[in-house]
Amino acid sequence: MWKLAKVIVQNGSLVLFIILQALSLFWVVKYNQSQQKIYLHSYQLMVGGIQSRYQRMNSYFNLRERYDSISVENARILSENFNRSQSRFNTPDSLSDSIPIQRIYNLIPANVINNSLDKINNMITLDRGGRDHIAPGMGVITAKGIVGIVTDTSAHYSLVMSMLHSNTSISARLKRSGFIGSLVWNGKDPSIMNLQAIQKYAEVYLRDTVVTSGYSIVFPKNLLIGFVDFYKVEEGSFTYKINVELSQSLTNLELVYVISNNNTGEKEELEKRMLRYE
Amino acid sequence: MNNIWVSHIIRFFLYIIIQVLVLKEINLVGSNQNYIFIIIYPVAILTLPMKIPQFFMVLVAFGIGFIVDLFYVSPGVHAGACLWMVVFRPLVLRLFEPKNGYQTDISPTISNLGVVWFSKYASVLLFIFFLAYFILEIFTFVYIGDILLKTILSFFVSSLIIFLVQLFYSFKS
Repeated sequence: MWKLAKVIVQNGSLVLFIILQALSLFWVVKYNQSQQKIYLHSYQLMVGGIQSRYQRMNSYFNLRERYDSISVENARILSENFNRSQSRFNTPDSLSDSIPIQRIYNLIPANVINNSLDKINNMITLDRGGRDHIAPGMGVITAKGIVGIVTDTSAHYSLVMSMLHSNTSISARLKRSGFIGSLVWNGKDPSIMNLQAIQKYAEVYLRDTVVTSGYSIVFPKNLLIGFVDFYKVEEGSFTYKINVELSQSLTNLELVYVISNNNTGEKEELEKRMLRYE
Repeated sequence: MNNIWVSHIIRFFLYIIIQVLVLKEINLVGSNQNYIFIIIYPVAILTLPMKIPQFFMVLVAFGIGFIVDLFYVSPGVHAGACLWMVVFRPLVLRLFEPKNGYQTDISPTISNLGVVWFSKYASVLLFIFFLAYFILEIFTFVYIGDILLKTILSFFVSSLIIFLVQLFYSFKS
Protein backbone atom coordinates (compact mmCIF):
# COMPACT_ATOMS: atom_id res chain seq x y z
CA MET A 1 0.00 0.00 0.00
CA TRP A 2 2.78 2.39 1.00
CA LYS A 3 4.66 1.41 -2.14
CA LEU A 4 1.63 2.13 -4.31
CA ALA A 5 1.29 5.58 -2.77
CA LYS A 6 4.97 6.18 -3.48
CA VAL A 7 4.60 5.19 -7.12
CA ILE A 8 1.61 7.46 -7.52
CA VAL A 9 3.45 10.38 -5.94
CA GLN A 10 6.43 9.82 -8.23
CA ASN A 11 4.59 9.36 -11.50
CA GLY A 12 1.12 10.68 -10.98
CA SER A 13 1.81 14.40 -11.28
CA LEU A 14 0.69 14.57 -14.89
CA VAL A 15 -2.49 12.63 -14.13
CA LEU A 16 -3.17 14.87 -11.17
CA PHE A 17 -2.54 17.90 -13.33
CA ILE A 18 -5.03 16.72 -15.92
CA ILE A 19 -7.67 15.95 -13.30
CA LEU A 20 -7.29 19.27 -11.52
CA GLN A 21 -7.13 21.17 -14.79
CA ALA A 22 -10.35 19.52 -15.90
CA LEU A 23 -11.89 20.48 -12.58
CA SER A 24 -10.94 24.12 -12.92
CA LEU A 25 -12.09 24.20 -16.55
CA PHE A 26 -15.39 22.76 -15.41
CA TRP A 27 -15.70 25.57 -12.88
CA VAL A 28 -14.88 28.18 -15.45
CA VAL A 29 -17.50 26.85 -17.84
CA LYS A 30 -20.09 26.46 -15.17
CA TYR A 31 -19.44 29.97 -14.01
CA ASN A 32 -19.82 31.35 -17.49
CA GLN A 33 -23.10 29.63 -18.10
CA SER A 34 -25.23 30.06 -15.06
CA GLN A 35 -25.32 30.87 -11.41
CA GLN A 36 -23.23 29.10 -8.85
CA LYS A 37 -25.06 28.07 -5.73
CA ILE A 38 -22.31 25.84 -4.41
CA TYR A 39 -19.74 28.48 -5.02
CA LEU A 40 -21.75 31.14 -3.26
CA HIS A 41 -22.08 28.87 -0.28
CA SER A 42 -18.35 28.41 0.05
CA TYR A 43 -17.88 32.09 -0.60
CA GLN A 44 -20.10 32.94 2.30
CA LEU A 45 -18.38 30.43 4.54
CA MET A 46 -14.82 31.40 3.79
CA VAL A 47 -14.45 34.80 2.26
CA GLY A 48 -17.58 36.79 2.90
CA GLY A 49 -16.74 37.51 6.49
CA ILE A 50 -13.22 38.72 5.76
CA GLN A 51 -14.25 40.79 2.82
CA SER A 52 -17.16 42.54 4.49
CA ARG A 53 -14.93 43.37 7.44
CA TYR A 54 -12.33 44.77 5.07
CA GLN A 55 -14.99 46.76 3.25
CA ARG A 56 -16.30 48.12 6.51
CA MET A 57 -12.82 49.31 7.42
CA ASN A 58 -12.39 50.77 3.97
CA SER A 59 -15.65 52.67 4.06
CA TYR A 60 -14.32 54.87 6.87
CA PHE A 61 -12.02 56.47 4.35
CA ASN A 62 -14.84 57.77 2.21
CA LEU A 63 -17.39 58.57 4.86
CA ARG A 64 -17.59 62.13 3.62
CA GLU A 65 -18.54 61.15 0.05
CA ARG A 66 -20.97 58.59 1.36
CA TYR A 67 -22.60 61.13 3.58
CA ASP A 68 -23.01 63.46 0.60
CA SER A 69 -24.60 60.85 -1.62
CA ILE A 70 -26.94 59.74 1.16
CA SER A 71 -28.07 63.26 1.82
CA VAL A 72 -28.73 63.77 -1.89
CA GLU A 73 -30.73 60.58 -1.99
CA ASN A 74 -32.70 61.56 1.08
CA ALA A 75 -33.51 64.85 -0.52
CA ARG A 76 -34.80 63.08 -3.60
CA ILE A 77 -36.99 60.77 -1.58
CA LEU A 78 -38.33 63.62 0.48
CA SER A 79 -39.21 65.55 -2.65
CA GLU A 80 -40.93 62.52 -4.09
CA ASN A 81 -43.00 62.20 -0.96
CA PHE A 82 -43.84 65.83 -1.22
CA ASN A 83 -44.98 65.40 -4.81
CA ARG A 84 -47.13 62.47 -3.91
CA SER A 85 -48.89 64.37 -1.18
CA GLN A 86 -49.37 67.27 -3.63
CA SER A 87 -51.08 65.07 -6.17
CA ARG A 88 -53.27 63.65 -3.46
CA PHE A 89 -54.55 67.06 -2.55
CA ASN A 90 -55.56 67.63 -6.16
CA THR A 91 -58.06 64.79 -6.12
CA PRO A 92 -61.43 65.47 -4.54
CA ASP A 93 -61.38 64.95 -0.82
CA SER A 94 -63.98 62.27 -0.81
CA LEU A 95 -61.93 60.16 -3.21
CA SER A 96 -58.52 60.68 -1.69
CA ASP A 97 -59.63 59.21 1.58
CA SER A 98 -61.14 56.13 0.03
CA ILE A 99 -58.20 55.28 -2.27
CA PRO A 100 -55.54 53.52 -0.28
CA ILE A 101 -51.96 54.25 -1.28
CA GLN A 102 -50.62 51.10 -2.87
CA ARG A 103 -47.14 50.15 -1.90
CA ILE A 104 -46.13 47.91 -4.77
CA TYR A 105 -42.38 48.43 -4.62
CA ASN A 106 -40.21 48.08 -1.59
CA LEU A 107 -36.58 49.23 -1.59
CA ILE A 108 -33.98 47.28 0.40
CA PRO A 109 -30.69 49.13 0.89
CA ALA A 110 -27.47 47.09 0.55
CA ASN A 111 -23.74 47.68 0.34
CA VAL A 112 -21.58 46.48 -2.51
CA ILE A 113 -18.74 44.37 -1.09
CA ASN A 114 -17.26 43.05 -4.32
CA ASN A 115 -17.49 44.36 -7.85
CA SER A 116 -15.66 43.65 -11.08
CA LEU A 117 -15.58 45.63 -14.31
CA ASP A 118 -12.85 44.20 -16.45
CA LYS A 119 -14.25 40.80 -17.32
CA ILE A 120 -16.73 39.80 -19.99
CA ASN A 121 -19.15 38.55 -17.34
CA ASN A 122 -19.11 40.83 -14.35
CA MET A 123 -20.76 40.06 -11.04
CA ILE A 124 -21.40 42.13 -7.92
CA THR A 125 -21.68 40.85 -4.35
CA LEU A 126 -24.00 42.57 -1.87
CA ASP A 127 -23.89 42.27 1.93
CA ARG A 128 -27.59 41.55 2.26
CA GLY A 129 -29.28 38.27 1.41
CA GLY A 130 -32.30 36.07 1.95
CA ARG A 131 -32.57 37.13 5.57
CA ASP A 132 -33.40 40.65 4.36
CA HIS A 133 -35.96 39.30 1.89
CA ILE A 134 -33.76 39.57 -1.19
CA ALA A 135 -34.61 36.89 -3.75
CA PRO A 136 -33.26 35.93 -7.20
CA GLY A 137 -34.82 37.96 -10.00
CA MET A 138 -35.00 41.26 -8.16
CA GLY A 139 -33.64 44.41 -9.75
CA VAL A 140 -30.81 46.43 -8.23
CA ILE A 141 -30.69 50.23 -8.63
CA THR A 142 -29.08 53.34 -7.21
CA ALA A 143 -30.45 56.84 -7.01
CA LYS A 144 -28.93 57.62 -10.39
CA GLY A 145 -29.61 54.52 -12.47
CA ILE A 146 -29.88 50.76 -12.63
CA VAL A 147 -27.17 48.29 -11.67
CA GLY A 148 -28.19 44.69 -12.35
CA ILE A 149 -30.32 41.73 -11.39
CA VAL A 150 -30.00 39.44 -8.36
CA THR A 151 -29.14 35.91 -9.47
CA ASP A 152 -28.44 34.11 -6.22
CA THR A 153 -28.82 34.67 -2.53
CA SER A 154 -27.54 33.06 0.62
CA ALA A 155 -28.61 34.07 4.11
CA HIS A 156 -26.32 37.10 4.38
CA TYR A 157 -25.02 37.77 0.88
CA SER A 158 -26.40 37.99 -2.59
CA LEU A 159 -24.86 37.78 -6.01
CA VAL A 160 -25.91 40.28 -8.65
CA MET A 161 -25.47 39.90 -12.38
CA SER A 162 -24.08 43.32 -13.23
CA MET A 163 -25.43 45.07 -16.33
CA LEU A 164 -21.90 44.55 -17.63
CA HIS A 165 -22.51 40.86 -18.34
CA SER A 166 -22.69 39.15 -21.70
CA ASN A 167 -26.11 37.68 -20.86
CA THR A 168 -27.70 40.99 -19.93
CA SER A 169 -30.71 42.08 -21.94
CA ILE A 170 -32.80 44.82 -20.38
CA SER A 171 -35.98 46.13 -21.94
CA ALA A 172 -35.48 49.87 -22.38
CA ARG A 173 -37.43 52.74 -23.88
CA LEU A 174 -36.48 56.02 -25.51
CA LYS A 175 -38.32 58.51 -23.36
CA ARG A 176 -38.96 61.07 -26.12
CA SER A 177 -40.30 58.79 -28.85
CA GLY A 178 -41.48 55.83 -26.79
CA PHE A 179 -39.74 53.18 -28.90
CA ILE A 180 -38.73 50.02 -27.10
CA GLY A 181 -35.46 48.12 -27.51
CA SER A 182 -33.23 45.86 -25.54
CA LEU A 183 -30.06 46.96 -23.84
CA VAL A 184 -26.98 44.74 -24.11
CA TRP A 185 -23.28 45.09 -23.30
CA ASN A 186 -20.52 44.43 -25.80
CA GLY A 187 -17.83 43.61 -23.26
CA LYS A 188 -15.65 46.66 -23.87
CA ASP A 189 -16.31 49.97 -22.16
CA PRO A 190 -18.09 49.74 -18.78
CA SER A 191 -19.74 53.13 -19.21
CA ILE A 192 -21.37 52.35 -22.58
CA MET A 193 -24.14 49.90 -23.42
CA ASN A 194 -25.87 49.21 -26.73
CA LEU A 195 -29.58 49.70 -27.37
CA GLN A 196 -30.75 47.25 -30.00
CA ALA A 197 -33.89 46.72 -32.07
CA ILE A 198 -34.99 50.36 -32.38
CA GLN A 199 -36.60 50.60 -35.84
CA LYS A 200 -34.94 53.01 -38.23
CA TYR A 201 -38.06 55.13 -38.74
CA ALA A 202 -37.93 56.13 -35.06
CA GLU A 203 -36.68 59.61 -34.30
CA VAL A 204 -33.53 59.52 -32.26
CA TYR A 205 -31.58 62.51 -30.99
CA LEU A 206 -28.28 62.82 -29.19
CA ARG A 207 -28.65 63.00 -25.39
CA ASP A 208 -32.12 61.41 -25.61
CA THR A 209 -33.05 59.91 -22.27
CA VAL A 210 -33.26 56.12 -22.06
CA VAL A 211 -35.49 54.68 -19.32
CA THR A 212 -36.74 51.24 -18.33
CA SER A 213 -39.85 50.10 -20.19
CA GLY A 214 -41.60 48.47 -17.25
CA TYR A 215 -42.45 45.45 -19.40
CA SER A 216 -40.49 43.10 -17.20
CA ILE A 217 -41.27 42.61 -13.56
CA VAL A 218 -37.66 43.30 -12.59
CA PHE A 219 -37.53 47.07 -12.99
CA PRO A 220 -40.45 49.47 -12.55
CA LYS A 221 -41.34 51.81 -15.38
CA ASN A 222 -39.42 54.99 -16.19
CA LEU A 223 -36.26 54.39 -14.19
CA LEU A 224 -33.38 56.37 -15.65
CA ILE A 225 -30.77 54.22 -17.43
CA GLY A 226 -28.72 56.70 -19.41
CA PHE A 227 -28.45 58.98 -22.41
CA VAL A 228 -27.97 58.36 -26.13
CA ASP A 229 -24.31 58.97 -26.82
CA PHE A 230 -24.06 57.92 -30.45
CA TYR A 231 -26.42 56.56 -33.08
CA LYS A 232 -26.41 55.53 -36.71
CA VAL A 233 -28.17 53.21 -39.14
CA GLU A 234 -25.93 50.56 -40.65
CA GLU A 235 -26.44 50.30 -44.39
CA GLY A 236 -28.98 47.61 -45.27
CA SER A 237 -30.11 47.31 -41.66
CA PHE A 238 -33.60 47.99 -40.36
CA THR A 239 -32.54 49.05 -36.93
CA TYR A 240 -30.39 51.71 -35.32
CA LYS A 241 -27.06 51.08 -33.69
CA ILE A 242 -27.33 53.16 -30.53
CA ASN A 243 -24.73 53.63 -27.81
CA VAL A 244 -26.13 54.55 -24.40
CA GLU A 245 -23.99 56.25 -21.81
CA LEU A 246 -25.01 54.96 -18.38
CA SER A 247 -26.18 57.57 -15.90
CA GLN A 248 -24.93 55.49 -12.96
CA SER A 249 -21.31 54.56 -13.52
CA LEU A 250 -20.76 51.02 -12.24
CA THR A 251 -17.17 51.81 -11.33
CA ASN A 252 -17.76 53.35 -7.94
CA LEU A 253 -20.80 51.59 -6.55
CA GLU A 254 -21.25 51.49 -2.84
CA LEU A 255 -24.83 51.94 -1.65
CA VAL A 256 -27.48 50.28 -3.83
CA TYR A 257 -31.16 49.47 -3.45
CA VAL A 258 -32.77 46.14 -4.26
CA ILE A 259 -36.31 46.46 -5.57
CA SER A 260 -38.72 43.93 -4.21
CA ASN A 261 -42.05 43.85 -5.97
CA ASN A 262 -44.98 42.84 -3.82
CA ASN A 263 -47.01 41.76 -6.84
CA THR A 264 -44.41 39.61 -8.57
CA GLY A 265 -46.25 36.33 -8.27
CA GLU A 266 -49.47 37.81 -9.52
CA LYS A 267 -48.19 39.09 -12.85
CA GLU A 268 -46.25 35.92 -13.63
CA GLU A 269 -49.23 33.78 -12.71
CA LEU A 270 -51.45 35.76 -15.06
CA GLU A 271 -48.97 35.66 -17.92
CA LYS A 272 -48.60 31.91 -17.56
CA ARG A 273 -52.23 31.60 -18.63
CA MET A 274 -51.28 33.27 -21.91
CA LEU A 275 -49.86 29.92 -23.06
CA ARG A 276 -53.36 28.52 -23.22
CA TYR A 277 -54.35 30.98 -25.94
CA GLU A 278 -51.25 30.71 -28.10
CA MET B 1 13.76 21.84 8.84
CA ASN B 2 10.41 22.77 10.38
CA ASN B 3 11.42 26.39 10.33
CA ILE B 4 11.70 26.39 6.57
CA TRP B 5 8.17 25.08 6.13
CA VAL B 6 6.71 27.53 8.61
CA SER B 7 8.39 30.39 6.78
CA HIS B 8 7.11 29.09 3.42
CA ILE B 9 3.55 28.93 4.74
CA ILE B 10 3.77 32.42 6.23
CA ARG B 11 5.14 33.70 2.93
CA PHE B 12 2.25 32.13 1.04
CA PHE B 13 -0.30 33.79 3.26
CA LEU B 14 1.42 37.16 3.01
CA TYR B 15 1.49 36.95 -0.78
CA ILE B 16 -2.16 35.94 -0.97
CA ILE B 17 -3.29 38.65 1.44
CA ILE B 18 -1.33 41.34 -0.41
CA GLN B 19 -2.69 40.02 -3.70
CA VAL B 20 -6.38 39.95 -2.82
CA LEU B 21 -6.60 42.96 -0.53
CA VAL B 22 -4.18 45.41 -2.16
CA LEU B 23 -3.07 44.48 -5.67
CA LYS B 24 -6.55 43.37 -6.75
CA GLU B 25 -7.83 46.92 -6.23
CA ILE B 26 -5.03 48.67 -8.12
CA ASN B 27 -5.83 50.07 -11.53
CA LEU B 28 -2.69 51.50 -13.12
CA VAL B 29 -4.40 52.56 -16.32
CA GLY B 30 -6.82 54.80 -14.47
CA SER B 31 -9.57 54.29 -17.02
CA ASN B 32 -12.37 51.79 -16.71
CA GLN B 33 -10.90 49.50 -19.32
CA ASN B 34 -8.03 48.02 -17.38
CA TYR B 35 -5.34 46.18 -19.31
CA ILE B 36 -2.72 45.88 -16.57
CA PHE B 37 -3.40 43.41 -13.79
CA ILE B 38 -0.72 43.11 -11.14
CA ILE B 39 -0.50 39.49 -10.04
CA ILE B 40 2.58 38.57 -8.03
CA TYR B 41 1.60 35.61 -5.87
CA PRO B 42 2.75 32.99 -8.46
CA VAL B 43 6.34 33.77 -7.48
CA ALA B 44 5.63 32.16 -4.12
CA ILE B 45 5.06 28.90 -6.01
CA LEU B 46 8.07 29.41 -8.27
CA THR B 47 10.52 29.80 -5.40
CA LEU B 48 9.57 26.58 -3.60
CA PRO B 49 12.54 24.20 -3.14
CA MET B 50 13.40 22.05 -6.15
CA LYS B 51 13.34 18.75 -4.28
CA ILE B 52 9.58 18.90 -3.66
CA PRO B 53 7.91 16.14 -5.74
CA GLN B 54 5.99 17.44 -8.73
CA PHE B 55 2.87 15.74 -7.38
CA PHE B 56 2.82 18.06 -4.36
CA MET B 57 3.73 21.07 -6.47
CA VAL B 58 0.59 20.50 -8.55
CA LEU B 59 -1.53 20.18 -5.40
CA VAL B 60 -0.03 23.30 -3.83
CA ALA B 61 -0.50 25.34 -7.01
CA PHE B 62 -4.11 24.27 -7.30
CA GLY B 63 -4.80 25.07 -3.64
CA ILE B 64 -3.30 28.55 -3.83
CA GLY B 65 -5.05 29.32 -7.09
CA PHE B 66 -8.31 28.17 -5.53
CA ILE B 67 -7.93 30.47 -2.52
CA VAL B 68 -7.16 33.45 -4.75
CA ASP B 69 -10.14 32.53 -6.96
CA LEU B 70 -12.46 32.79 -3.97
CA PHE B 71 -11.49 36.42 -3.56
CA TYR B 72 -11.52 37.25 -7.26
CA VAL B 73 -14.97 35.62 -7.67
CA SER B 74 -13.64 33.68 -10.65
CA PRO B 75 -13.82 29.97 -9.81
CA GLY B 76 -11.22 27.91 -11.66
CA VAL B 77 -9.39 30.72 -13.42
CA HIS B 78 -6.44 31.27 -11.08
CA ALA B 79 -6.33 27.58 -10.17
CA GLY B 80 -6.13 26.59 -13.85
CA ALA B 81 -3.45 29.15 -14.66
CA CYS B 82 -1.33 28.09 -11.67
CA LEU B 83 -1.59 24.47 -12.80
CA TRP B 84 -0.34 25.32 -16.27
CA MET B 85 2.56 27.22 -14.79
CA VAL B 86 3.57 24.39 -12.45
CA VAL B 87 3.32 21.68 -15.07
CA PHE B 88 5.91 23.52 -17.17
CA ARG B 89 8.25 24.09 -14.24
CA PRO B 90 10.27 20.84 -14.51
CA LEU B 91 10.74 21.42 -18.25
CA VAL B 92 11.98 24.96 -17.71
CA LEU B 93 14.26 23.84 -14.87
CA ARG B 94 15.79 21.22 -17.19
CA LEU B 95 16.10 23.74 -20.02
CA PHE B 96 18.10 26.24 -17.95
CA GLU B 97 20.11 23.68 -15.98
CA PRO B 98 23.69 24.85 -15.39
CA LYS B 99 26.53 22.66 -16.71
CA ASN B 100 27.28 21.10 -13.35
CA GLY B 101 23.62 20.59 -12.39
CA TYR B 102 21.62 21.95 -9.49
CA GLN B 103 22.33 21.42 -5.84
CA THR B 104 19.41 19.31 -4.72
CA ASP B 105 18.00 21.10 -1.73
CA ILE B 106 17.96 24.74 -2.76
CA SER B 107 15.18 27.06 -3.80
CA PRO B 108 15.39 28.64 -7.27
CA THR B 109 15.95 32.22 -6.11
CA ILE B 110 18.25 35.09 -7.08
CA SER B 111 20.58 34.57 -4.12
CA ASN B 112 21.02 30.90 -4.97
CA LEU B 113 21.28 30.94 -8.77
CA GLY B 114 21.89 34.53 -9.84
CA VAL B 115 19.91 37.37 -11.40
CA VAL B 116 20.24 36.23 -15.02
CA TRP B 117 19.23 32.66 -14.35
CA PHE B 118 16.28 33.69 -12.20
CA SER B 119 15.00 36.24 -14.70
CA LYS B 120 15.04 33.64 -17.49
CA TYR B 121 13.37 31.01 -15.35
CA ALA B 122 10.71 33.28 -13.85
CA SER B 123 9.83 35.18 -17.01
CA VAL B 124 9.13 32.04 -19.05
CA LEU B 125 6.88 30.57 -16.36
CA LEU B 126 5.15 33.86 -15.55
CA PHE B 127 4.38 34.39 -19.21
CA ILE B 128 2.79 30.93 -19.33
CA PHE B 129 0.82 31.86 -16.23
CA PHE B 130 -0.52 35.12 -17.64
CA LEU B 131 -1.38 33.63 -21.02
CA ALA B 132 -3.29 30.77 -19.39
CA TYR B 133 -4.91 33.18 -16.96
CA PHE B 134 -6.35 35.51 -19.57
CA ILE B 135 -7.38 32.69 -21.91
CA LEU B 136 -9.29 31.05 -19.05
CA GLU B 137 -10.74 34.32 -17.84
CA ILE B 138 -11.98 35.62 -21.17
CA PHE B 139 -12.71 32.09 -22.37
CA THR B 140 -13.36 32.91 -26.00
CA PHE B 141 -10.93 33.46 -28.82
CA VAL B 142 -13.19 36.17 -30.25
CA TYR B 143 -11.25 38.62 -28.08
CA ILE B 144 -7.83 37.23 -29.00
CA GLY B 145 -6.44 40.76 -29.29
CA ASP B 146 -7.56 41.58 -25.78
CA ILE B 147 -6.08 38.35 -24.47
CA LEU B 148 -2.66 39.08 -25.99
CA LEU B 149 -2.62 42.74 -24.99
CA LYS B 150 -3.63 42.01 -21.40
CA THR B 151 -1.14 39.14 -21.21
CA ILE B 152 1.81 41.17 -22.44
CA LEU B 153 1.12 44.33 -20.44
CA SER B 154 0.28 42.51 -17.21
CA PHE B 155 3.29 40.22 -17.68
CA PHE B 156 5.74 43.10 -17.96
CA VAL B 157 4.42 45.13 -15.06
CA SER B 158 3.97 42.17 -12.71
CA SER B 159 7.38 40.69 -13.60
CA LEU B 160 9.05 44.00 -12.88
CA ILE B 161 7.51 44.13 -9.42
CA ILE B 162 8.36 40.48 -8.76
CA PHE B 163 12.02 41.02 -9.75
CA LEU B 164 12.29 44.07 -7.54
CA VAL B 165 10.84 42.20 -4.56
CA GLN B 166 13.13 39.22 -5.18
CA LEU B 167 16.17 41.48 -5.55
CA PHE B 168 15.30 43.12 -2.27
CA TYR B 169 15.11 39.72 -0.61
CA SER B 170 18.44 38.63 -2.06
CA PHE B 171 20.18 41.75 -0.76
CA LYS B 172 18.66 41.19 2.64
CA SER B 173 19.81 37.61 2.93
